[in-house]
Amino acid sequence: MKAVNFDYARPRDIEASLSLLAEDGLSVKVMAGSQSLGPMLNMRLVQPDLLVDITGVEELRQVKEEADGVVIGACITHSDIEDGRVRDVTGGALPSVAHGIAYRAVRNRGTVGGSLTHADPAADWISILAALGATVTLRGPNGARTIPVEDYMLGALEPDLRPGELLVSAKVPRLSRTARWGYHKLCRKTGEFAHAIGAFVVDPERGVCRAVIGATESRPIVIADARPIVADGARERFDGRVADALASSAGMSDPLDRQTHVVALRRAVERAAYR
Amino acid sequence: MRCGHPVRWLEDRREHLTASANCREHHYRITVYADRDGSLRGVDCEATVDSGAYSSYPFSACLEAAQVASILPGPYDFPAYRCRTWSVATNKCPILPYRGVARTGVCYALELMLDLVAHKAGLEPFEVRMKNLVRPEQMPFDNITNKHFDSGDYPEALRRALASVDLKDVRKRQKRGEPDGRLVGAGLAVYCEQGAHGTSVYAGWGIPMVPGHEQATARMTPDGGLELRVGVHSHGQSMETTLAQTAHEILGVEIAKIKLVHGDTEYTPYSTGTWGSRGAVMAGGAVAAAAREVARLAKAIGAHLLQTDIEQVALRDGAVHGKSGSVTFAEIAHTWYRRPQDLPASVDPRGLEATMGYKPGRDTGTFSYAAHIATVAVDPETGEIEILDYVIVEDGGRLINPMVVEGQIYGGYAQGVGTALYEEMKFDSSGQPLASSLADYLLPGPTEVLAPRLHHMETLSPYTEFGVKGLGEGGAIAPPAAIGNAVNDALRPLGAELLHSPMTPRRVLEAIAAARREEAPVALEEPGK
Repeated sequence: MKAVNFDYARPRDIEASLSLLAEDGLSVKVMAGSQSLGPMLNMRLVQPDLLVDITGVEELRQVKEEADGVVIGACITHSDIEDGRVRDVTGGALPSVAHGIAYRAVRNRGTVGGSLTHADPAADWISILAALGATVTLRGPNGARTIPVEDYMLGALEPDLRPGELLVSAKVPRLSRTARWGYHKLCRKTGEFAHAIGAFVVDPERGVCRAVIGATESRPIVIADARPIVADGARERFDGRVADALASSAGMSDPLDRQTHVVALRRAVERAAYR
Repeated sequence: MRCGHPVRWLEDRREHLTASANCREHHYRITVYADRDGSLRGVDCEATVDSGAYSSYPFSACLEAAQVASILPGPYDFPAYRCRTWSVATNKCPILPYRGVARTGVCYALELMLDLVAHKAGLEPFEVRMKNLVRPEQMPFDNITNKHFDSGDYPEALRRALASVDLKDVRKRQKRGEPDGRLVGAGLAVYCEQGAHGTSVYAGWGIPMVPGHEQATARMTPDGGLELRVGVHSHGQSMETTLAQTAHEILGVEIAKIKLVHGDTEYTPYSTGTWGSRGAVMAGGAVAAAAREVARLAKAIGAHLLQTDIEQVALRDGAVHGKSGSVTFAEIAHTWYRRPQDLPASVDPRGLEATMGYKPGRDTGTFSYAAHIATVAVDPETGEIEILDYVIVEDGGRLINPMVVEGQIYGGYAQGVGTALYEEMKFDSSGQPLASSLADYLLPGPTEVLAPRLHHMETLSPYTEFGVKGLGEGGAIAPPAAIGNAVNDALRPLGAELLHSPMTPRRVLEAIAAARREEAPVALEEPGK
């Protein structure tokens, strides 16, 4: 099977993109790296009338360093981050996670904005960016809005995208020098989507201690104050019971599934402790 | 299907995964009887094979179930045996012959049982094998299902495999515990594989397609090169090299000047094709026979040109040598094709071309065999399995080209790792296929397939040309059994046991959880707490 026939547009700026998205009565899909959308088109899981390819929009390929973080354009690829073409403000967290995404061929084309908007719970960016406390900015017919990255994902394959809206950038906060992070994912083979993800960021200077249990059935479980799990102190101590109870109350009912997710988080915390 | 016109078939991945074959689904209820010293007394088995909805030509519905009963005894010698098999029709895709037909499931079932025997008897798993493997002095050996093992030294293969693995170190590591909390284990499997079996075997099965003599054409070309035409087809196993070498062995024509024509029924002798680990034995034998005939024809012309008798000449280095000198194949071919006026009136009108047929002296098949030893680490918290080491000692009789043989075994091993750990055609309760892309139907990739350490033995078959044995499928047979035994060896301290492939992280965790429940049936301990 191959994709249905569709029209294709490659606008040069955000305004033109938004006006294409506003087309009435058309089913429009935004395409960036096409690493998930491509297969979905070929399997006819999506059958758009119009594909809007936003990789020609210069503004979406910009990176802007600010005092408190870095703003990453939606079309920045995983390999841009992996290879250091994006200024790292996270003590190595972003390049390291980028390096572990799928395969190099996917990383060369797949984009941060595409991954977040595709909203696959098993993808990496949603978990690590949520742990870092990143935000995303969306632009639409009624202007722009900025929300925490975890709020952008409503559920599996369901981004908080209003009619005519486009994700334009993600802002990643700058970690202090004393901050530490850990990330652990369980895959059965190299490049596979994760079965469980644990992400942990502790930045005492900024009063941040965040943990994420990712690769769940739906949106990641974000623990904005993870101190009860890791117990305050110079060296993190992990309380699996608290994490397990959190996962349980978030609806993860299968004990073995909870076990692997709690283990992934514990290993992320352990990595942060030894980093 | 007959439609009276040519058909072009295009199939994408999703269609292939949902509508192609469904293989390797066996279910066993098996009891093994043994003495305390590990000597097998008998095997009692009921096996069920999922054959899917239809039978594919010529006989796929019963292909595996019928073979299970006859090959379950493996390379072992024991006095009592009963095996009943059922081929069950389901609404899944039909079963089709897949590398190591029936053998992979059989090996898994029996080898896991032999490890249980070892465990119950307080023996090392290899001791149970050593007690029961058919010994070299028994060869050729008719086993309990009347399989005729042609030759081999099965215990020696296992000895060599054991010699290259430090089992004592594994036991030490198990006592000491791993720094990362994983559990290590070692597991082994031994099998023998009937291959290249012929007319008598398949006629006995009563199927509509019975292979007979395999034929090959050899033709010396005007430049003194050689063209071989065979009906078997190379789909990546380097027959071009193997069969050219076979002809070179007899004629001495440079390998670079030998061309193999195959894969086109318009130009090649009729053949049932490449299957059943028969290519090297059957097509190799046919090529040898045809090359010998061409040698005879070339010698006759060569002798004439040297003005002597055919008895006075010999073939060497691509030329016919006599007492007075030599003529090259190029000169002989040039004479036949271009200067027939120089030939005697009595010249054989076939010229330098011959089609010959071949069957081994006995067509009950060759039995290649191997011992595999896997060492694995199992993460009891996540269920992840890593292969730390893998050793294969195989015996394929005369190895025409060891590198080609190694390629066959590596490829088979990779498929075996897939069967052991990854590949599964899952359906939900309403029959919806759950593996319709390679994101769901997991195949091992380069990082999952640790290169095995490979050792060869060469025990010739008494029945085939050069003593060659068929071994194309063998690599895929033992990995699920060896890896399965290694995983169970690792899990033993937890009292857990896994008898189901693929051995996914989920199944490992379920096995551990089941063992915990058994230990503490009242206070149900939930993992993670």
